[in-house]
Amino acid sequence: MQQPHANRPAPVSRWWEPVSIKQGQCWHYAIGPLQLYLQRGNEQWLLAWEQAAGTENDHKLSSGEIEAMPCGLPAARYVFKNPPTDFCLTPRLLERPVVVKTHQPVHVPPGERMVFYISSPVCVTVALSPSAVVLQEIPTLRLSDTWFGPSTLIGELCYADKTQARNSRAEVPLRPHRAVTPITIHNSSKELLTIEKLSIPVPYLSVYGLTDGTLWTDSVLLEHTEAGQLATLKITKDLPEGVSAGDLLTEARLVLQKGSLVRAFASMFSD
Amino acid sequence: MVEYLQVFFESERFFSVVKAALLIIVGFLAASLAARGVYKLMLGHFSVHHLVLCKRLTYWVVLSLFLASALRELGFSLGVLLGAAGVLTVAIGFASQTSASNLISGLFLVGERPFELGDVIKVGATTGEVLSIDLLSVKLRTYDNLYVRIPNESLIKTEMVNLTRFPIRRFDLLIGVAYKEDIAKVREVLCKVANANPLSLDEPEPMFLFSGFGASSLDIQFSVWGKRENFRDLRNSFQEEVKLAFDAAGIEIPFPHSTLYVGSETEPFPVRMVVAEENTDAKKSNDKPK
Repeated sequence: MQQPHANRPAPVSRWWEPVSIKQGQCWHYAIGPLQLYLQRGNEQWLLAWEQAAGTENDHKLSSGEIEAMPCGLPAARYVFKNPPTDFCLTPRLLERPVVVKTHQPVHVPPGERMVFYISSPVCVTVALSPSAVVLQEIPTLRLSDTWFGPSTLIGELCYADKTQARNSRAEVPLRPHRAVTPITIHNSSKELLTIEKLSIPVPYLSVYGLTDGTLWTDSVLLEHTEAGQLATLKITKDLPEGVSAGDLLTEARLVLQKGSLVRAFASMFSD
Repeated sequence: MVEYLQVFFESERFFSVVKAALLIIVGFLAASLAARGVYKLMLGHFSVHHLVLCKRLTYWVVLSLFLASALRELGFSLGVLLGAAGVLTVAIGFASQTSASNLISGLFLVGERPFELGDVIKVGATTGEVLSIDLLSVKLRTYDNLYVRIPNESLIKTEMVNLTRFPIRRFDLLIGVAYKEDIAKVREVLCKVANANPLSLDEPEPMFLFSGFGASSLDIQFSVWGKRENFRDLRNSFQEEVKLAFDAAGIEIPFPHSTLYVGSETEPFPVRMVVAEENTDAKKSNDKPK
């Protein structure tokens, strides 16, 4: 674990580094739309948070000491005999797959293989160290629920989001609260594959943090074959460019079984 | 008397009674242990419904075996008992038609599995969580924390709705807007509210249905989907947001209008205009202390 920096503003770009605060001190973190407030008391820690409405496109990242906890915001209270001195925020991907709608339908001709960079908002795990007590897991952005499946009987609950489905890494904007997943789509069927919606299996992906403050996930390979409607999902061992195994921040929530089939492309299922 | 008791205690019959009593006690213990053992063994592999069913079945089978042994120890012949039971059944059958009907309905319910323990069902006017499914009745806990016993026979006969069978549910908002309103604008406002509410599912998409021209309003049905567990929150938040959005957009939700028509032949209604100041003055004079 990295050494906590005592009582000075955290290096803003890497918001997952631990911060040490004095007794009675309040700390504020803004990670995109999420506002987080922490206070260390005599025998307690207070934690309050809010997601500012209509700030989905807020890419702000700030960290610093504040006078007091904001009034009117309900704070959770955690009591300790000897309260830990540091807190640490860790990014973690959401617990359900994220279904992203492309702004316009994307067509992948037969035999083509294309990489898309699609981001999804992360959750922030608030933990105290050195005792490693996890206080809460807070989503940076409350995404809308959605159902992904051929009918209201078959399918699964997911989160809904929108994407530009960029296929150039340079075009991917830097956002502190979103982790980028490189998704390779391989159309090995003999027909044109039309994608309007894509389900990213985020519970199966780990999160990596780079020095520039960007978050990345494992690369995903989705292969569409003629055999069935489901796509073969594979989490490739090749990490995204510039990401090394040492940058790992959090492990995936679920372990993917070999040769898993997932519902990935909506256009094949829409009735 | 003492002698009689002494003879009884020394007789074989006394030992039979003791044995039978022991068998019954051991039977209860063994049945309880066996049922718990089966429950633990099956835990994690089967649904709660099946677990409870197997637990009860094990309990009663083991207990009845011990009871039969105890009866035999007391000198009862099981064959004769069963024969007598057969004759008795016919007599009891006539007397307890309802119980028998409930029992058979219970077996059908167990086989059909229209709901499981923990499901929320609606039977007639009662809605509640299923606490237990027994051979004669189903027990529910209603939302106002009442314990309701529903005979299996009525469950088989009447319509029963399982509210928690599927993971998602649809909420139908029935709303009327004034005749002067632009339907396209109303539709746009409703869609915006649904999009902004995170509890309303993105897919299946909300459905807009122009139901018709009502007596006082243009009737609309707007259906949104939500996660089963969030259904109540969705219903509350969505209706509240629709009201706010309609107020903000100046869309009127009319209350029933009535127009009085007295025909062309009659004189118009006499209407007296009251000046506001005059009204205030009158009020003031009324308020003066007398």
